[in-house]
Amino acid sequence: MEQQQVDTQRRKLLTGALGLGGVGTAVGLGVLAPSQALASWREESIMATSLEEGLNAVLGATDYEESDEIRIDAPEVAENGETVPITIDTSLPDVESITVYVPENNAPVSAVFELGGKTKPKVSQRIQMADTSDVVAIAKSNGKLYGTSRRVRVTIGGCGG
Amino acid sequence: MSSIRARATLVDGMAEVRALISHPMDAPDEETGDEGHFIQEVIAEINGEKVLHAHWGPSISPNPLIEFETEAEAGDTLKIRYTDNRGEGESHEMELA
Repeated sequence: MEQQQVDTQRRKLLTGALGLGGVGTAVGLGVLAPSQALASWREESIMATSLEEGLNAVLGATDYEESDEIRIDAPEVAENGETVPITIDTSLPDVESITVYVPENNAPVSAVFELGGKTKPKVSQRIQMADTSDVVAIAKSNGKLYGTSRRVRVTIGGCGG
Repeated sequence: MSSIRARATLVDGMAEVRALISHPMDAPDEETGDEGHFIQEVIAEINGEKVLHAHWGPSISPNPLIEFETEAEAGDTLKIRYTDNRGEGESHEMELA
């Protein structure tokens, strides 16, 4: 009981601090390591409700060349849209980033992965899907955009962001 | 206890990394004004060099899993950290073996 109260107070304090404009304040409170606060989240892309806006913000374009060198591993039918395992894998060279989007989700840009030069262009994660939709993966390779899509049928939708 | 659990397997100069993060990944709700609670960024480093930077939104499933492969060898330090939309985060460091 006591613990719960402490938690509530801490939450209030945090909300207050952030409300005052303060990632800086949060650092001061020791909540964040400075290096963590310096990272820049791609909010414009990730929280965009329109696909065009989201892709433009992350890739500077909405067009991509279809490529069979990108593979999306995903179930054909997902019984539960809350947790759909997705793996993106590509044999394209010099891949800087992989962007995954689900056009039918409220926030269509699901994730953006920036890859260091020593990292293989292959990532896996689990996403939520509101409804049956294509899953689209776009790889930026040598500065150009290549993409492919794959249909996933969802039986029971997740909230899908 | 850390909310990040990571495992790395070294194969032919590559580390196959699998990390699980205990997190609700609650989506914001526009109607109620609830800001949600979700991880925004996950960063992985080998010996201090950034190898992966993931930008996430609320459509990533709760208790997220992330898998990737990067060049590494035994003795290297793998660090995985995340921050969420409340400015909270955690960091997990391990030596590869």
